[in-house]
Amino acid sequence: MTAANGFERVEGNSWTLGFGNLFARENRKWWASRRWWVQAVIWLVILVGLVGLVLFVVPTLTAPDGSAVSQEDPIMSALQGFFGLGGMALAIGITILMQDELVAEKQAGTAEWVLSKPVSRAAFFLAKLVAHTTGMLLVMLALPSLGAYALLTVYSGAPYPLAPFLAGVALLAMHTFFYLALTLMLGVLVERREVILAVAMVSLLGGSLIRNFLPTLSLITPWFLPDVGGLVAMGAELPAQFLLPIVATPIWSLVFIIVALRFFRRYEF
Amino acid sequence: MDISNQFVIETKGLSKSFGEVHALKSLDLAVPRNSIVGFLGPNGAGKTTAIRLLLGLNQPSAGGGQIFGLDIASQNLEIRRRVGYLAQSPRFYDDMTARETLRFTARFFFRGPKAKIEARVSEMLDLAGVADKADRPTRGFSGGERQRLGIAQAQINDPELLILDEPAAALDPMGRQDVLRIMEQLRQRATIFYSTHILDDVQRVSDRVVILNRGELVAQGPVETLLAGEQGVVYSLVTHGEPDPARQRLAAQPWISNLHLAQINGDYRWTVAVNDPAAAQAQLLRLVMQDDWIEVLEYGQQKLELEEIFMRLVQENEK
Repeated sequence: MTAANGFERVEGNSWTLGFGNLFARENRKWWASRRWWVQAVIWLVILVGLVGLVLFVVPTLTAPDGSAVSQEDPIMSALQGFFGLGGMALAIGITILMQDELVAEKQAGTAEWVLSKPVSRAAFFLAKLVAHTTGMLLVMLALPSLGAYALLTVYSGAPYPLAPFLAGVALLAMHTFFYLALTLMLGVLVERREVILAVAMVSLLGGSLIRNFLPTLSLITPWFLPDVGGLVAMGAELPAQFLLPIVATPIWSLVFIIVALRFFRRYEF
Repeated sequence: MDISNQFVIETKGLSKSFGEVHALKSLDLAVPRNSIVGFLGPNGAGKTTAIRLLLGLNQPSAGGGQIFGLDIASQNLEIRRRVGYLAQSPRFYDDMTARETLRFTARFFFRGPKAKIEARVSEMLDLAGVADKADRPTRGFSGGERQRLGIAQAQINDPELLILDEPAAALDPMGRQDVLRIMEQLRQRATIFYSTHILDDVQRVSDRVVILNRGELVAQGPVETLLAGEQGVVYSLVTHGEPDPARQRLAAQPWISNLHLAQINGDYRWTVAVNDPAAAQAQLLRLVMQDDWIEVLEYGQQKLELEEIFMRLVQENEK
């Protein structure tokens, strides 16, 4: 059945064929289901709640002797919490959310079904990557960042400097994307969800430990990135060595994507 | 006729190994245009592996093949534009309804116009008998309903070649009849290559069969040729009484090509292959009955069923 029958044929090359249809399908998972608002509530509570707690609750707390519980600048503490703990929480969240994306499709047979149509394997993988990155950025990061920025502004009594805050959020996005790419790559390479979760968690939690013992190694990984994001958002001068994770993290993410595409191209059903 | 145009599927030495397991061993396949070809074999024979290789879902370990003259390994995207495929256990996104599933499938082939796509979707829902369930999410579908939806999605692009892996496996007798009816309707427009265990169906609708066992091609050819068998016409008799003198008389006849005698519960079953049916018709029974102690309980020309041929070929292959 072709144009002769009045149909307009889908065109595309070995990278893009089927991408549009699959991207729409993956987008539906975020925007045509309750996922977007469930995730929005979760991350608003976690990230904005954390900032609100540090800015408005902790300063009111006093120790039994009547002294203040925290002596630190609440804005600095809030930014450290938002970027440091938030970075870890987002990495765990995206790993949990994405661990099933490819494994479930491979096991259920839906991947085989879709790939029996004129669909390139690259399009199948990239549609997931792009759609979930968009969802993650908007719902899990942009929305809570907006909330956190509003609280910082309210607390300061004047707009908090936007550019450094946005730069810090960009680094947080880079860190979360690293785990999204890692999880999707593992979804291509392995058949078990537990392995994906284990590898991602070891990377996340082990990385936090390793950076205390091998700080130089940590600089070429994303493990410092959330803290660097916090410093950037505070407007602090960055030591030159802290530029390394900013360069290394996207490179790692790119490597994961290339490995995933390469292995998925040869994946056997 | 141009040879390359005569066969829709052609493979040469197509092989697939998974580690030490040789799932498919040097398959030479030739599927003529506009034929219905039954792809037979016991479980684990390599049928699904062969089908996945044809569609580019797996890569061959050796050999190769062509569909529509296009290489199955390097040009499989173009091949899949022109093929409809039904997997052995079809699975769809369970949050989608049947209609959404077909619309989603159609959009891999066509960008528009929307009205035509919708019309095609409705047509396929009707054809496969799932129109009344069109707006139900597929998560609640039974195996048979999924199979019907699978048949509908396989035809959404009006393919030149339909590859169906066990299309009637999960269907009730009514569903099976529907599938056979659809296949017969499509005979004029498409080539159908399907694997199955239901040999009655193959005998009923197929032009040709391909038999696979343990990854090896055992036989392929027109159904009639296979049913005629290598032995030609075969007579079957059941007698009571000492058979040896009669056996010696028959063994001396030049028109008998093969003679087999088996004792069953005190009676004797004779299987007599002949190369001159006229001579056999005139003399066989008379030669047996020359001994007056022999009582003939059954006599007739054996009509082989595909199942017998299949079992025989598979068993011979396993020796």
